[in-house]
Amino acid sequence: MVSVLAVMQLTLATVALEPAAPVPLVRADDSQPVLAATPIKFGAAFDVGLPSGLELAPYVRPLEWLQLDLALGHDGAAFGLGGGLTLGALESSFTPTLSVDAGHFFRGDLSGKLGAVTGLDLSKYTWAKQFDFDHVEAQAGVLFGWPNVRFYVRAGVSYLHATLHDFSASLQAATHDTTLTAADPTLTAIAPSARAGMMVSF
Amino acid sequence: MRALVLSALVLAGCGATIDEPSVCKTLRDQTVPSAEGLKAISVPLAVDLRPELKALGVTQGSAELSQVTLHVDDGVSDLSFLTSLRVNLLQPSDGGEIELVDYEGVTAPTTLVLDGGGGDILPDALAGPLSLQLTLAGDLPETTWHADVTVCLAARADLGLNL
Repeated sequence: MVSVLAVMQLTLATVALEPAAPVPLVRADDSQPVLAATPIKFGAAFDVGLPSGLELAPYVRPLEWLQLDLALGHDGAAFGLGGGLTLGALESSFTPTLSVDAGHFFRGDLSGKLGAVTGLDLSKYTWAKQFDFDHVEAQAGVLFGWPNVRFYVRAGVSYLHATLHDFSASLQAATHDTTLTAADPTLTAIAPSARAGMMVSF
Repeated sequence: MRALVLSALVLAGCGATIDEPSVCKTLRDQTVPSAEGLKAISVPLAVDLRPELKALGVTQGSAELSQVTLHVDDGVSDLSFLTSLRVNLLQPSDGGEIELVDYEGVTAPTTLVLDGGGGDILPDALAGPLSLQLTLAGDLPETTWHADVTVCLAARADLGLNL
C-alpha cells in the first residue's frame, strides 16, 4: 500500500504544473527505491510422490505468485527429467497452490511395481523391465512454512503414456509361441498422483 | 472425504488402456484339400488366442480381426487361381456367422494380405478357440496344397488398477 501511494504521489507530482519541490524518487523513511520490483528468487525443492518418484528440482520464482522448476527424478528404477510450474501466494506463510508438472522417465525395470498396480505377473516381460514413460500431473495442494524453508503436499491426477518396447519378444517368451508377432503397443493411464516435499529458497 | 476423492478420480476416468495395433498368430502348414471339380471350398481353422490374451492381461476391452495373410507353402506355385476369399467367424453358441473378410478379384503370387473387419470378436476369443472358416473360390487345384495362415488382431485392453 505504501508503494502504491508513493507511485500516486510521484504521478501527481509529475503532472503538476508548478511543482513546489523536486520529485522524491525514494521513500523518506527507508531510502528504498519506490519502483523496485519484487526480486527473483531461486531455490531447490525435494519431494517424493507418485508417479513422480523422488525429485530434486531447482526452481526460479520470477513473480511472487509463479514458480517454475526443472526436475531430476528417479522412479525407483531409472532417472527422469521434467519441469513444472506452481501458482499461489508463494511469499505467504500458508497458501493453497495449483501445480502442473510433466516429465519423462528413462528405461528401467518396473516389472514389480507395474505388476503390483495391474495385478499381472510381469516378471517375464522384457517390456516391463525396460519401461520408460511420460507423465503429466495436475495437482492442488498447500504450501506452508517459513520464508526460506517451505513444506508442501499436493494431490491430483496424472496422465501416463508409454510404449511397450520389444513387445513381440515378450509375448513369445510368455506364451512359448514363436509364431506370434506383435507391434509395440502403447499404454495410457489416468491415475491418482500425489507428492510431498520441502523447498529451500536461497 | 474419501468418497469425494474417489468420485473425482472416477470422473477423471482413472484406469489404464493398452492399444495393441497388431498381435499376429501364424498357423503353419494348413492343409487345403483338393477341390475335386468344385469352384469353392471351405477350410475350417481353429485359432486359440486365449494364452495370448491372458498373457496380455486382456479380460475387458475389444479386439478386431485386423488382417489375414495367406502364404503358399507347398503344393501349388502361386495363388493366381483364386478369385475370391472369404473369412467367417462361426459362433457355435447360436450357429451364426460373422463375416470378417470378403475379398474378390484376387491377384496374388504367393502371399495374399487382406484387411479384416467385422467388429468386436473379443468375447468369442476369450470364450474359446475362434472357429474361422476360410472359403476360397476360383479355378481351384485338383491336388491338396498347404499354406501358412496368419491371423492378426487389433486389441484394446482395459486394465484394472489396484490403487
